[in-house]
Amino acid sequence: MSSKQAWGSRLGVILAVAGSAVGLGNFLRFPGNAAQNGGGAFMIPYFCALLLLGIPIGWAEWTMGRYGGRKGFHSAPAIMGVWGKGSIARYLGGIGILIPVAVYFWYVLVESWCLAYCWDYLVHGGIGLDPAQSIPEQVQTSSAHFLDFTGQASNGSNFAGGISESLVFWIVSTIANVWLIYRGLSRGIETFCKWAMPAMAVCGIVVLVRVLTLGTPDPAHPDQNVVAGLGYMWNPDFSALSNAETWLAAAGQIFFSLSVGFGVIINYSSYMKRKDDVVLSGLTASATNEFFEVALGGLITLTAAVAFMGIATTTANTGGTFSTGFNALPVVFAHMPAGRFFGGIWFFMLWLAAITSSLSMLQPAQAFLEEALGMAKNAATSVLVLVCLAGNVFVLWFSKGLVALDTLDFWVGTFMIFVMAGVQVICFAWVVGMERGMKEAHEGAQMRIPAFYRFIIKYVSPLYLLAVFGAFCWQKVPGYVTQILGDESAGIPPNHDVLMTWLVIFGLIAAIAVITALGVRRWRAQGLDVDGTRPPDDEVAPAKR
Amino acid sequence: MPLLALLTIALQDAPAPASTALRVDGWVFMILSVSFVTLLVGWCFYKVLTTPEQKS
Repeated sequence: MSSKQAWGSRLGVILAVAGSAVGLGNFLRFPGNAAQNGGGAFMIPYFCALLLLGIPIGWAEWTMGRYGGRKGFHSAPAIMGVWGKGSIARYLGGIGILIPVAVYFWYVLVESWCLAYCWDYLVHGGIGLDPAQSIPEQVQTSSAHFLDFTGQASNGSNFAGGISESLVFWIVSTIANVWLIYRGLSRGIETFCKWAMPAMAVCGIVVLVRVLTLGTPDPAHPDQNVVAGLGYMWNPDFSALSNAETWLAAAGQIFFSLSVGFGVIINYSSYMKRKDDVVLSGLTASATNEFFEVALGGLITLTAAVAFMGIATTTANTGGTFSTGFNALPVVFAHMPAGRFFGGIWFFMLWLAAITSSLSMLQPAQAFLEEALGMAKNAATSVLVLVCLAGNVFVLWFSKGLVALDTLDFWVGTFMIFVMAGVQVICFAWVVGMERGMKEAHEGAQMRIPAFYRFIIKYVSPLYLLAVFGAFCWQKVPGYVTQILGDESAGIPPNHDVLMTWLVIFGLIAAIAVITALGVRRWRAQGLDVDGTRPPDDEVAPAKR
Repeated sequence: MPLLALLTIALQDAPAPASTALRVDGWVFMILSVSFVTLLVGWCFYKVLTTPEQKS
């Protein structure tokens, strides 16, 4: 049973949660976002979102998870049922299982790309760029390599012509994930994160030192240098602050970067003991993520890109995770002295960032299968692995334009996170109430949550979330709906790959709902407090004695 | 077209700045931001590593 699992140490759970949060977005998405939205001025809305949205909702999620664990629950549906006091919150809590599983379907593939690029740099010296070509030509070559490697030309191309390189590295990454999950929470995830997180920091600092000492790599282009790169990233444009887009981008970056509402923190913290601190642990995990994002991601990526490619080419390839990471940066490493070594280190660091995140995506569903269906750990892991393999093959097959990946990322990995975080903060602040919630948060806490955060969590965070979600829907959702349904007047047909992906999403939702219903019967039969109507056993036991 | 979409297009179409040497205000934002996250993570880990865990 999952209830036998526990964290080995406080540092272990912090590094595991931080590992879950630190991912490709820290190094690739953040710098592009900042540069396009006011440079240094972007940090004002960014830190506002961190303090008003990311950290408080994170504290709520840590607290809810630990409290659920005290009642014998480790899965988001069960824990949300306790905090939401009933079925609606419980079934909405199923989103906390849907998100990590559906995101894992594609995330492990991106992870395998990082590993493949690392292999290419360390073994083959790179991805075959010709330094004699012009920079735009090299970016084109790099993009063509990426398109070919990921099979974006047509569906099924990853499976054409035998075992492709992308399949080999997908298998290797899958084996690594499955092996670590089989080892369990403490011996697998915790042990791995304990060395992977420091290793990631060391790799990041090595690359950072190299980038900051590049000077002016090409004397023929004196305007392309490190200081210009830092200027491109950090020079503030205060006019951007009057733009709603800037505030939306900053809140979105914080929100997705910290993984609040993802379903992982609530599961991880459920294995903590009653007196384990959640306030300092939650803050430390968030701070670790911010260090990787701002101090490493904010100084490395665009600085190197501008120093070697100039601002025009960098601007054209900035913003998207994939365009920055897999199209532009290989060109940088092709021109950097010892680029083979630093390219290998860089993609190894990205692989570490990705695997510490993908590992965390399997644990919530594994715990859910164990406690809802009464499965043994290995049996639950086996079922989950089969489902995830099927999901991976689906995304690998529907690779044309990465449409399946993009659909899962947008509707599950982005849209659903808003819903889940909203449900969490409402249950914490309004259903259970701030008094009870803060009292629970301060059990064993080694620092107090400042008193003004009562007001922030109750009013500011939900409204901030609602505003960001509303703006997000207004801006992004219509385009994605058109992608699904098509638009006859504009001559856009429905996209069948997207429809197939939605079938997969609906299948997952139905399965989670059925398993939750079975779980409720089981939990009631066991006498567990499914609807959160009584205090935890460890609270009432001493009074009885 | 939604206002935000128009703003997005305007942002994307904006020409890259002619001069990007790191200005004084750029230095200030960079140093403050990097220092803030570095000090925060340093303080947090100091507290975590030096405060004994409570027993349940």
